[in-house]
Amino acid sequence: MNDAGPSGLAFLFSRTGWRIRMSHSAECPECAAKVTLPDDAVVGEIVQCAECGVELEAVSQDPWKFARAPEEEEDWGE
Amino acid sequence: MLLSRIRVEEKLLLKAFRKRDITVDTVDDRQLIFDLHETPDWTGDVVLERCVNHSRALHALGILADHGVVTINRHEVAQICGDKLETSSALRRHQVPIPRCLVAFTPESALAAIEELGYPVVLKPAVGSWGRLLSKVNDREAAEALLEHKEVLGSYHHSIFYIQEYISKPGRDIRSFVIGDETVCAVYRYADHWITNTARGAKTENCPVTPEVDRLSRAAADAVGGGILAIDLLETPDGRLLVNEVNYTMEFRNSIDVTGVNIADRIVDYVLAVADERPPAPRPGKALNV
Repeated sequence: MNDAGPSGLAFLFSRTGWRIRMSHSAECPECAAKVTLPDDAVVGEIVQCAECGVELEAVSQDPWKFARAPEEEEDWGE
Repeated sequence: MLLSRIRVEEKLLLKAFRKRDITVDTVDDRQLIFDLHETPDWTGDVVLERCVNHSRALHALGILADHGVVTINRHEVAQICGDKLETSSALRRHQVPIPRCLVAFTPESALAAIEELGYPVVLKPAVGSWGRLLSKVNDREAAEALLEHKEVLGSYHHSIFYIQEYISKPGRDIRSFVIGDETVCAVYRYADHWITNTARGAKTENCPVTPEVDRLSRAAADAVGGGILAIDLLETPDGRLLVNEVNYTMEFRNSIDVTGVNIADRIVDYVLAVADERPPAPRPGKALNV
């Protein structure tokens, strides 16, 4: 388990200097690991927890929250 | 954009629309309520269907079509492509070459059909994707066991036995992408397994769009009603190409880098072109004199 909060302000250093960016991370509801979303993440996006491997769906933003993604159904596909 | 979840493809599409300053509303099919008597108020100029559930896509497209909403793909296309039996029939009607296919409705007649076709054969559920529940049946004992399992454990859908000739392909198949009237690109899908879906781990490489790949791909797309479609082609040992399946909510994440074609951009081009066309009228109903 780690102490990652659902979101917050993160200070990042870039070539142009210090800038402020919202943290795109939240806790995995399965194993409590910190799961990071890409910068362009949107609600509904599917990511995989690197620690427990479970598929997660980003269900809300500000703060980001995850729920277990729906299980594959028989008529899923292309 | 009607969707179930935001996969890589949906993100690529949203990004491609955003790049052109096109406003896209995303509608989650889990939250949808349709009133059959009212035209939905969220449909905009055109609805791009990207649902992961075939049944939801099919019914949503049907209701939208009834109200004259322009959709991509059209309801009729989803009806055909969502069912392998319908797809094979449409391809055959349009004289597009396909593997030999037999259909039976009972385990006994299915076994007879399998024996007539000769081992090995491939059994597929009529509805399904990503290589799920495909069976290569090598002998009679395997056929008997599989048919019994399907009958006892499967839903009624699994008692429509779709039996296809097994094509000994060269460790790969071809996936081509047709958007409108053009085959925009194609990939080889390589796998050690006889199932070569990328959802099952197949690797992609660019496949040149030869005149034959182009001709067959566009013919297959036309046969099912056209739109944005991914065509699966099989190479036979004697050098022919056969159309195996047609997919109407295509995935393309593994085919952009290897082909160098920005498929999401090409889809956006097509969506905008369709949106500019005159919208269809609502589907006519028949008045009942009572």
